[in-house]
Amino acid sequence: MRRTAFLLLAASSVFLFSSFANARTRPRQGGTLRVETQADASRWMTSPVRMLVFDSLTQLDDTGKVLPRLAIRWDSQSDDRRWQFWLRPGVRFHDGTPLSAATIVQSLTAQPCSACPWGSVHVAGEAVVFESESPMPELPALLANSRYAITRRDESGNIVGTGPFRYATNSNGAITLAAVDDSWRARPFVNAIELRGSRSLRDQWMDVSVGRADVVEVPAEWLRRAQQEHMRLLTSRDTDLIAIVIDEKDPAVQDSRLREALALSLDRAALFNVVFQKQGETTASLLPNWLTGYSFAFPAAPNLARAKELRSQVERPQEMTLSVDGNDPVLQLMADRVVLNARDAGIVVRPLTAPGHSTLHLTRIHVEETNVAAAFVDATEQLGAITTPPADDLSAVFHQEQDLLAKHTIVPLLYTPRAIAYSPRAHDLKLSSDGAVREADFWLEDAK
Amino acid sequence: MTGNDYNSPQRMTFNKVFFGLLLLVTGAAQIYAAAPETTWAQPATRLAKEIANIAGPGTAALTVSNQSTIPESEVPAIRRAIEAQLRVNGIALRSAENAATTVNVTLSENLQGWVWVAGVQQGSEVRVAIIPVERVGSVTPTQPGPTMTLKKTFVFAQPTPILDFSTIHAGSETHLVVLDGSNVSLYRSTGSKYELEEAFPIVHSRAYPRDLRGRLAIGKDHLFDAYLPGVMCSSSATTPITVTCRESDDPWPLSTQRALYNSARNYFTGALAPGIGKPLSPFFTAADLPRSNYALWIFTAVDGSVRESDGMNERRVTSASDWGSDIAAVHDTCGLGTQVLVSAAGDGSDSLRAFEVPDREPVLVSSALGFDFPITALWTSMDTTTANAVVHNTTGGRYEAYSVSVACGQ
Repeated sequence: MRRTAFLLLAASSVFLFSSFANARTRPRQGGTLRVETQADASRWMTSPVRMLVFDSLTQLDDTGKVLPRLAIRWDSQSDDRRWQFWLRPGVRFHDGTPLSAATIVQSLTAQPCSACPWGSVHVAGEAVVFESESPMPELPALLANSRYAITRRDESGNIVGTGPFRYATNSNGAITLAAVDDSWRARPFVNAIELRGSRSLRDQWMDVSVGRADVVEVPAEWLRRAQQEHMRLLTSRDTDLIAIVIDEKDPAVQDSRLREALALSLDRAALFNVVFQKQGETTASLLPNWLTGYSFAFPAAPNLARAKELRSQVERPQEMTLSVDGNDPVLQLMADRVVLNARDAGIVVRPLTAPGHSTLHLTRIHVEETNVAAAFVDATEQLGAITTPPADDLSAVFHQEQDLLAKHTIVPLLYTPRAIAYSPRAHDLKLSSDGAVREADFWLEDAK
Repeated sequence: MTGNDYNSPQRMTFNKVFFGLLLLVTGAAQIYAAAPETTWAQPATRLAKEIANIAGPGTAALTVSNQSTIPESEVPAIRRAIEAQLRVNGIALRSAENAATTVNVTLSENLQGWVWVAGVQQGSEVRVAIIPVERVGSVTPTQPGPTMTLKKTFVFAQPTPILDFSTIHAGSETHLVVLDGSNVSLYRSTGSKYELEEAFPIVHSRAYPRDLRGRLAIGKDHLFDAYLPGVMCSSSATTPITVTCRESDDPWPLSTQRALYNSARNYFTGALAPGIGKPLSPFFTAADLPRSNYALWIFTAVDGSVRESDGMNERRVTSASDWGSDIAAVHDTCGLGTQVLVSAAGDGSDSLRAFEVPDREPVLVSSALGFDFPITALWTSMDTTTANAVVHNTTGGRYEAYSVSVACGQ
């Protein structure tokens, strides 16, 4: 599902290369960008693809700087415990409803939000106010996350947003997003995006090669193969973290020495070389090095001797169980190697073949933020770790991460990039630094 | 020599004519020559204080490694600055076997700037200090998406149009050769600047065409040749270097081929020797892309199109419609091993982007490397690992020579 979103996200661009505005060929208007995904097309709304249809209050640029989006300015009081956001005037939802403080509060409170960084959100005149008992120094950055995109339901019950595309139709396994002529972010060049779901990777690659699709998926583990097949590729920075989450309440790992022994037994380089064909980076840090600059300070090399030593200090350890996200075959492959690595240290890990509680869970998360502190909050939330938001200070984030990882309840393994392949008729497709899409500047060669 | 800008070249280790890496290094030195050691004093002070807070006074062994875009030439200065500040904080530096503490400093970077990380090890315990450091200098930060980074290194500038330039190594001496319409000029490095050794005038009876072009190439049995429309100059094989010129319509070297230049115009005729099969359409610049049993040539035709030929078929590259007229191949260890550096179409400020051609379609592999002014010449360097770009600084009224290299990875 995340990949579904990602593909549509890929069908957008940022203004990174505006220096070519005086190039001979100007973008052309019209046409339909055809996107294919493995996931069911109807699930596009639950992922970052929404940022083609929806907007957040803020956005992050590629250096992590917070920029206005639906909010044009903000300030904080009470040591960042109270934040007030003022809205961009003249913005309307796709059904014509004006954007207001009330619609924003309605959107942000429509679903229970236990992981939200704020305690309450309410209208204050023309502004929106967030309040919390603890400081929220990263709130403007966190509000850029697609999870906090502003949505509402129209009279028919359909979800509408304020972005440059609106949901149009869903038929025969494909959804269509139509360009919004009067979008406050300017009308896209293409008339529509057609997302066709439930397409195998093999079919997608065939379709893009014969001109039946414009954008198709390239999982990180297939990236090398796509390069060898000379596909036109766009690759993001390393934004997907694969990690093991350990349930410290499970009797099998209540002794932290066993958790540490397991972590020290893991051969990340083998996973990197074999499973991912050297795409991405090995990591023992929660955040990628391009974002923090410090990930190497967390040693990622295995230490089997120390792992065995720690294991030997524990009498009669119980068997651990290991589950993976969904039916992800790559994670399954990685799980097999985790079992072998653990066995080398004398630790017995049994993969679960059916859903159920497990000691260890191998998971893949996407870190969307380009702000270090916000990314830390996002990653820990997704991994189920309870932390307090760090100060907007690199050293503070590092030490908070160090404290968290010292518990050995989360074992980061790899960071991998996101990638798409695209057809020659598609121009100016660009991925933002987090592998997502913030603008819709793509255009088609054969458009009139 | 007066009136010229310069930088400090470095010694190379072999005796053939070469270029690339030398200019990259020398250019980096030039950039940071403006940033004195005091540039690093402030972050060194902060880091040393953090280290001292962890280690306390005593003895320590220090290592400094660089994983950032800070030029290696700056690392000794950074180390000295950290050492000085550690001493100020009561930490005496010793060898590893005589020190109670080991301090491993890594110069890293992230999206916002540089990051200095100190691992302070006492016994088996390692504690870490981190400080962000504002990025200075003109090293181009990585842009998202594309996988390679283009870096430009200033080499030289003069008031008259530079057609091409190169560093050569003759015996134990390093020289900068600068080709313009009037002279082949030799400059000697004096550590911090270039000093003119000799300017060899280029005598020609026919008038040059408008939009004068020229290039330098490795000589067969001598140091270098210079080619201009209707004129060719050759150097001596050894020092003292001399240069003699003669009128000639000899084809200009272009990678493994020689290309006939239209001496009345500003482009190549398309005729290649020994040839790749069918002649090319007339072109401004061309780049060869080695394949297993042939070479694919990609070139900017005089009709404004970008075309490619495998010797049998010539086709228009429609996706290259925003390319300018100047392209140059660079051979290195990145990606597929050959990138085509491409100028931008249009007027005013210019830029270079790197493309690879896995099959027949160019694929963008770098972000744009911006220039504030138009590029007037772009050639593959003599050792083919970098490109020589000349920019007309219309504000300063001078022509600036840059070496452009491709850095692998993001």
